[in-house]
Amino acid sequence: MHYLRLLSSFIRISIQQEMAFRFNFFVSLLFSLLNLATGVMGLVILYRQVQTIHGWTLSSSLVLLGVFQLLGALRGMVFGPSLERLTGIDGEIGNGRFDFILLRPVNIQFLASLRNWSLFAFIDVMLGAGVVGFGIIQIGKGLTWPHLLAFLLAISAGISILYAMLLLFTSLVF
Amino acid sequence: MNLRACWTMMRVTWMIWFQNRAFFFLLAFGWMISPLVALFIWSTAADGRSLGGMTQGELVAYYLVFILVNQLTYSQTYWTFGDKIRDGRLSPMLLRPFSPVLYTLVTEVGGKGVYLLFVVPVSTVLALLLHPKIHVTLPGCLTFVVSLLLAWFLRFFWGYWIALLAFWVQRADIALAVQDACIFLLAGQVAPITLLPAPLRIWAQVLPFRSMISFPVEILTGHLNPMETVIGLMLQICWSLIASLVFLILWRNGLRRYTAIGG
Repeated sequence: MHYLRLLSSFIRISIQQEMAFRFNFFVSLLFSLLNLATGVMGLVILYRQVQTIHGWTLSSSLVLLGVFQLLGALRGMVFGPSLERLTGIDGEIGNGRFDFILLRPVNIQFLASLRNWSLFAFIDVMLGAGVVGFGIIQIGKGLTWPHLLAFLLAISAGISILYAMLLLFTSLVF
Repeated sequence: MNLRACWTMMRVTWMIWFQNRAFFFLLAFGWMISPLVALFIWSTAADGRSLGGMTQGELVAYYLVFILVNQLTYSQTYWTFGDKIRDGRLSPMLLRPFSPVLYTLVTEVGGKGVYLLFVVPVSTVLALLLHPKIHVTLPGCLTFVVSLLLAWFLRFFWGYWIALLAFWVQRADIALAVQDACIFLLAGQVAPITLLPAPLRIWAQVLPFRSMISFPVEILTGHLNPMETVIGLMLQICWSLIASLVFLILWRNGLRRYTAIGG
């Protein structure tokens, strides 16, 4: 409960920080759209030349692209920004500010990986989900509940793996 | 031109870069990934058939040369130049008895050496593994070198003038992102120009992006007849002139504006 309250205040603070630079919202919206458009265009160009590649069609590749975007966006929204602050040439572990995290009376891993959220990346999450949905409609087979559940389970497993890997690589900085 | 100063600047660049060589090798690897993905996708798609007149071996050769040309013409400074204008780090550069443009050029050339140390071995290994099919002629090689130099010149000044927009606009990096998207689609990266769908192909042939990477590659891999080569070279020269002219105008005016704000 305590941790949930902390989490919601992290999110609130992140929103407030990002709202301070409102123009950036439109810039990152543009970046996201551009990114997605180039990806989709690339696939369209490829499937103009061939119908299928080892059983993959344009629609199923779109779903793949969407899932890739979705996972990347979730990383960028939830734990990416916090972990990125730790590493790098001027990261907090390098310049000693990590001490301030160690001193706080909460779980250190929780604080170090979830204190910064990027709500701009929420656009990317929506866009990625949109592409997945579009691709599935294009395939036209419909979705069954077990399928959807398995998909959600696989996505959550994917995110957990992604988080674990990122934490592992971040820890290399020590 | 101060040759000794140029040489010193280049040595400084090398020293800084070799200090963080792992980082720069990673960066170079990152730039290779996108053409590499395209290479594998197209070579899978062309397995046992030819696409738009290109066989699998030819596609592999195209993309291997593409990786080299992309690395040679890529200019990494324009992403940082906008930041320098924004946070004022341009001022100390202006105080030097040494044009910042020359400085950028010299660090650019120095940086190429570091990247090539990484890219050449990697692409050699790939070439041994993937069996590219390429037929190189001596005139082809010579025109390739000429068009490669033009391509680098064009890409350098094209990116640079866009970076200079930071004199007027806060987030000029969005223009750079648009440029990168255009390069991805129209410079032969996502697909060789001949494989693009019709409306895009016409745009790709007229706009400057093909002249930046794909055109030298097409010359070396022997996909162009003499007429197309001459037209392509003329286009490269035209776009280079336009880019450097726009750069000069923006640089002059921007610098005046910059000093006016800085006081």
